[in-house]
Amino acid sequence: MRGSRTAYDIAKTAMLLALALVLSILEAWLLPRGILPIPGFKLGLANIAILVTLYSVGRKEALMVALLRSLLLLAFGGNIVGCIFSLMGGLAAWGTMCLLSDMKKVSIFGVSIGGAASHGVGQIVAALLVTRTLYVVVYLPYLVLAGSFAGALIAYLTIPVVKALDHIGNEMIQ
Amino acid sequence: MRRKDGQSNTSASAGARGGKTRPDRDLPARRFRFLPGDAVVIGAVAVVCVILLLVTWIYGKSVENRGRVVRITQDGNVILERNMADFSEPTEYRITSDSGEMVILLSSDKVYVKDSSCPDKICMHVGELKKSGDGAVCLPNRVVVQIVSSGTEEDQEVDVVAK
Amino acid sequence: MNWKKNWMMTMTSVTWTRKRHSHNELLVKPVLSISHRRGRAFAVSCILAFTMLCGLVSGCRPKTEKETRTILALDTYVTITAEGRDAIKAVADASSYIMEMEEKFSRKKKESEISKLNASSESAPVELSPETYAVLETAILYSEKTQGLFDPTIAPVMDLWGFGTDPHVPEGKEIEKTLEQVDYRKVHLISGNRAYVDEGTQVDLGGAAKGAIAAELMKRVRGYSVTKVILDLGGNVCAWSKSGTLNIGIVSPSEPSDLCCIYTLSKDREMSVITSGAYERYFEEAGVRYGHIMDPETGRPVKTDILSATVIGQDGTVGDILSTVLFAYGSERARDFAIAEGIDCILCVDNGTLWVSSSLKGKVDAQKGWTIEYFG
Repeated sequence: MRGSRTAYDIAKTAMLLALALVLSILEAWLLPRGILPIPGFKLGLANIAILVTLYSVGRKEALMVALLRSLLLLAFGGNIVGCIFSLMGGLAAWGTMCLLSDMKKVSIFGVSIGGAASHGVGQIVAALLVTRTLYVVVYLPYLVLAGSFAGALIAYLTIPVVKALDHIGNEMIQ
Repeated sequence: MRRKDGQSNTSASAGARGGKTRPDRDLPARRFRFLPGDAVVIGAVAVVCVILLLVTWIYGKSVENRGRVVRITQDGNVILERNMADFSEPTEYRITSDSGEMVILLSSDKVYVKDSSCPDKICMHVGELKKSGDGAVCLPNRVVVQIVSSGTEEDQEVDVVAK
Repeated sequence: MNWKKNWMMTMTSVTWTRKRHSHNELLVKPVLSISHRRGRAFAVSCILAFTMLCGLVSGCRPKTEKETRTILALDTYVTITAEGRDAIKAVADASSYIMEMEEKFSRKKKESEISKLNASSESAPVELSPETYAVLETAILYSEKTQGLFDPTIAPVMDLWGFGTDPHVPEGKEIEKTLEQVDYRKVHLISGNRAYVDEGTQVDLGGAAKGAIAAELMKRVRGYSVTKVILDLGGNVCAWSKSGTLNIGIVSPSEPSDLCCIYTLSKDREMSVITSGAYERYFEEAGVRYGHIMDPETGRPVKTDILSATVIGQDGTVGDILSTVLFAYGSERARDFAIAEGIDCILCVDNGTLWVSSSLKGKVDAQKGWTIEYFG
């Protein structure tokens, strides 16, 4: 039965996608766009949703949440540069989170921190492409560092959400 | 949901059936407490950070000297345009025109007009040209010496200078 | 299948769904799922459409241009910088306009207005353009105000000292003789923008021209759709920024490659910043430095304890004149004059101190090695 999804799973994914969008907008509001001279720099709060999706639904759904979040943000905000940043950051985060979650010795905290760190890397790669200068690499260490702290926090917040979703799921099915 | 044979096919009741409470999907295992592997992850991230910081510091140092370009024009034509870093040894550059001669000293950290045949010698009084945007003009010789940036980011503290 | 359900499922679950014949769980079998070719095509085209639409929308912003041009004009290096929708047009126009203005003010060109004025006489006065006449009028006005410390007829003395060709210290007798020609009262203004000079009098508006030209140029450039304009006429600055502040550095007279202070110009205010000093145009003979700013009374370079005087104001012509005046006055008299006339200025005084008008408080940032004393 690998790979198949229940309707509940799909509904869950939809909800988590919506959550990811809301979180993105929230972090945009929290961090006004001028803090770092890089346009489109983001904290990565939406990783909460991606992480929850990963643990509650599945890997592919998590990827979909990451991709569609960026595209829908584009639809809402019209900011192509910001979209590319979200996309790259989200993809990088998803990739490492998938890898790390398979490792036996790594808990959700490690997964999240690794994911947030690579979110930063993804954004810098995007910045390199957009500005076509090497200078933006200067910001990389700081993004990675900040991201790591965010990652720990995100993991801490994700755990109850996943457990709650399980609980709701069980209740619903009954 | 009930199957034809009366068995429930949902996850919860699967537990009652003694089977797995979660179907065998591509979900990662639930590991919610800190594990030794986390330390490895954090360590890896820290190491990467340090390496990156080193790299950017080194890169910054090299750009500092390579970023400035000295451009000398005569009669509007560029007769010299080189990276200041090329002049690790201070070099004298002579220019002759129909009104006289000029000697410009080029080094990796500054450029200045060492001597000029012009009467007012404004080009010499301007002093040393160091930052991008600094310039000296010699009208009688129709020569302009300026420092231009080669395109790397330089924050200009001032937008213009009154002299 | 319900089309609404299909739509929702496609949007949220673009996963690979294997069609199952068994009924173990409630499977998703939408016709528009990705395992179906049509479903895939539909999903992909949706995404593409979104992206293109958003790209279109975001591309419809008006573009801002930025243009800088430097030309050799007015005996110096002129840089014109503008930002805004019509920046390129504005700068191109300004560049050609400057050439026109050069024609008017240059004493060297035979056809210029000033040359014609210098060749005029009571019986044959010359008619000047309104701009030139206005500058001449202002020059005479300030000559009167400063009892001749500023004098537009000082040109013969400058020529005697050889500034621009062969700088040297002339004989005392030569200076005496040339001084006879110098007197602003020998310039006569008559109605209808006409003027004439007494015989032998040579007018040179160099001490006011740059400021005047900068102001004219600024007016012209601002006529275009621009948001920021910076004019640098050989160190004579006129600047304006619609929505941001501008930092205007003032050169240190003792070390011309450094700044002594930075003046911050607030947004949407047009200001001219003009500095006078003897640190750029001078020559040295027998170890003594001779600057180019002359004292009309003695026929020699002014003796002053001010290293440089900077005037900040909205009138460029007046600013140009006043900076020379303040420099010539010396620190004490300059300060009194500035207070009396309400001039905003920065005086670089010998010992590394900046005397700054109190009206400029908060707008001037001293650089390393300089301290500010407010007055007035």
